[in-house]
Amino acid sequence: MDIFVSAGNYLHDLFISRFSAHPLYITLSLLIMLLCVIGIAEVLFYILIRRATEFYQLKRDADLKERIITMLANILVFHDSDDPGLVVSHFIPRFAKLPLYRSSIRRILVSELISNHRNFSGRTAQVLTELYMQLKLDKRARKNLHSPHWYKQIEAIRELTEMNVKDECDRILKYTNHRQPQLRIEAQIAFVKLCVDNPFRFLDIVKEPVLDWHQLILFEVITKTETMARPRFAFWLNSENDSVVSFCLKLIEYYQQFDALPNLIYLINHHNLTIRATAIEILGRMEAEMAESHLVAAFTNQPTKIKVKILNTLGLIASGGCLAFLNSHAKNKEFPVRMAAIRAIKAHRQSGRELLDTLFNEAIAQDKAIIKHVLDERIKV
Amino acid sequence: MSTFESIVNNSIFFYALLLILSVVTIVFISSFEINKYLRTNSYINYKELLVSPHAPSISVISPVFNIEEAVVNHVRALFALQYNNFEIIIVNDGSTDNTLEKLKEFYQLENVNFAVYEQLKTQAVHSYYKSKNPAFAKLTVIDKAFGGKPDALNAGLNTSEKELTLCIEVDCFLDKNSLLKLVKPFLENKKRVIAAGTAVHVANSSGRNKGHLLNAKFPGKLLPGLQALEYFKWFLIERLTSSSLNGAHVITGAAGLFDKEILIQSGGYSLKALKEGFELIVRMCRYMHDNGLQYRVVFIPDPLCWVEAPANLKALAKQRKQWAGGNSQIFWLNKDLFFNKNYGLLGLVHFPYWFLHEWITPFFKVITLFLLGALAVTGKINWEYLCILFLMIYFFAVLLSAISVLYEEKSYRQYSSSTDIFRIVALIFVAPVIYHPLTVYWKVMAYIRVKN
Repeated sequence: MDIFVSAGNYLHDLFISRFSAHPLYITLSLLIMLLCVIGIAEVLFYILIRRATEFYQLKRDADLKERIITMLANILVFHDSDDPGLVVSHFIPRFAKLPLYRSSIRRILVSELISNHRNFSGRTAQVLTELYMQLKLDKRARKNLHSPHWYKQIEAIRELTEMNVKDECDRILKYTNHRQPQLRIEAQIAFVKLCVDNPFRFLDIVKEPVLDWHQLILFEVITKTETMARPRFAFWLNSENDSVVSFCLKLIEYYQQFDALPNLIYLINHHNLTIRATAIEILGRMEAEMAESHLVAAFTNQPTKIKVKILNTLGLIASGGCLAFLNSHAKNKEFPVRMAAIRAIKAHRQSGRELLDTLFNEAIAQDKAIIKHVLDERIKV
Repeated sequence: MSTFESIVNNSIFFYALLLILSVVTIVFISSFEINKYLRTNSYINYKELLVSPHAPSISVISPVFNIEEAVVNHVRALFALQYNNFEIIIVNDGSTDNTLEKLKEFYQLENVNFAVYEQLKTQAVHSYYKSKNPAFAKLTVIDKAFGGKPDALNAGLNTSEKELTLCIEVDCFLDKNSLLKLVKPFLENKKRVIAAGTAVHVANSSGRNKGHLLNAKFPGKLLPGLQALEYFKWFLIERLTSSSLNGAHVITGAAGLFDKEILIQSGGYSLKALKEGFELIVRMCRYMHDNGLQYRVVFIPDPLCWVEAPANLKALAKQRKQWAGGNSQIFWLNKDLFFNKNYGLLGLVHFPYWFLHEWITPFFKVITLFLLGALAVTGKINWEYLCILFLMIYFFAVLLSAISVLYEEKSYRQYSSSTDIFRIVALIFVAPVIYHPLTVYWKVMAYIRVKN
């Protein structure tokens, strides 16, 4: 006990009685030390409180969640001939008894509605949307749509999209060109899902780049939504936004829009190397024989990377019309070009195989190795 | 108080203040960054990337040397990575045991005729192997003469035909979503991303089976525990800040994803570098600057890689001395970077800061101790003031560790049991007293040896 008393007295003496008598660096050191001790205590206390609160909330929410799941399970069992509006009106009084003024309960209910809506379609999904609207759960999401915080806007957009609330499309369209990338992509996904008549309108207005990551996500969303109207994507190949061009190229390939082939050929000379490379690749995968002469003509002045793409594409088309051209590059001084030319020759099946045999007999050791490599079925690119 | 003592005390204080202010700035930046990262990533679903035909292609390159017992499980763990467009290149770097035979037997390998575009010079490659079993079509094994890890990685790079390259160490455990998470920065930046690194955690007490990590547990022993705590600080505070300022932060050798084209054009892995990961990143950054190309080096704080930390003093000392020697080498080789405005933030901020933090500070600490010793011997010391100065430094170090633990708690919370938390909290108070002086000692010894 005496130790604590003397320690207390010493600290009082150090921090109060003698405080002004210390040199400046000691005064500052004492202050920094004090701040650090307060900081450490605060951090450790925060960790403790956080864990305790989470434990309590988890326990409390588990009971509520169970109750809400049961209520939703009851509402989902109805006859096909029942009107969704009537079904909802029947159950509304029970849901209204929930203390929805509490945000945690509202959150659980919305999350369960979303999860069920995702798993059901048709009338069941309609019933869930109807319930969501009649309980006025959309009010908060609509309000958050106007929030100054991007993460609240994202949550609102997600909620409205999942619950298929379509009347906020115009507002969402504005966010498709937002400078916050995550908000932008969420808005683009939402717009594509909600605005069924003209889901690609956002491509006309988007000035910000559709990042590769976003293209990938949008591509998956679009190609997995079967009911969507699909325009002629070649329309956007003249866009000033290169990322829009790049994105539309992928969709042209996926939907095999052959009428876009002339536009793709035009892109062989695009200033952006990525677009040029993508266009060339797609011409190959769409087996655009009409592009062969253009590819051969453009070949000479291209960087190595594009030359390789052109050769790959000629291999994919494999019409036989370019075998002589490929043969001339099978001895190119650049290794990647040589390899690509030999691969392209191999893609010509019988005629290619014959040419490779001839090349093999004439080739030097390294080229023989390339031919062997290309012919080995166990080695895949 | 003598003038000399006053000078010593003042210099200790003001140098400590300079460091404290720089660290506080870093803490603020990292706090902002981690919140931003966690918030943004809470909306991310990697499912689309997993199934996408447009996901960039990756080569996972792993050099192996004399690990016959572990090699099969190591490759098995790589096969379990979640990604649809990747290949595995195992480079047997002149093993003298049965490493290659084990691989050949288990994965049904047979010799293939491989033509390689040899952009990087390496030791002679004896042969290339592919599996006759289509289930292992992703696997390529290179058997080459011994040349060390960097040489083996270069051989792997020559063989790779993919866009990105993940270079890993054999003793690390990768999270199965590592590729998905590491690829994302390459797809979402307006500037070209040349490398992405991830946080490393200590796996010493964690459960594992056949190359997979089963459950995360905070190390039970003192030394690995202290290192685990240090890793929180490095990864969740320092590297996150460096990444946000686009610094050429260290991409750990344990797991780093690189833009293969830039990696090769920068010259690949250096055979002479003591800290090859850091040296490579600095060289890649220089290459981008020299060619007027905009770039980003990204760090993601997700705990994707788990390593076995040295469990005894001897091994730890060896590791730390090697790292410190590597730092010295990098500072010396890139001395023209210091305050060179042509290299932007890299030359003006990052390099000088690293030098101050990694090189000057340990020496300053040692010199200060000598001076204080001299003062004590001559009896010209105010012990009370000295204790106050040391306590300030101690509590600041404790606070810094506590903040890094807080970040871990708020973000990924790898260690959820109460025992782990109590252990971590206890180590926070112990680390500045026993661990920190040791690391300083090892650094100084390494610097002196390199200088000599």
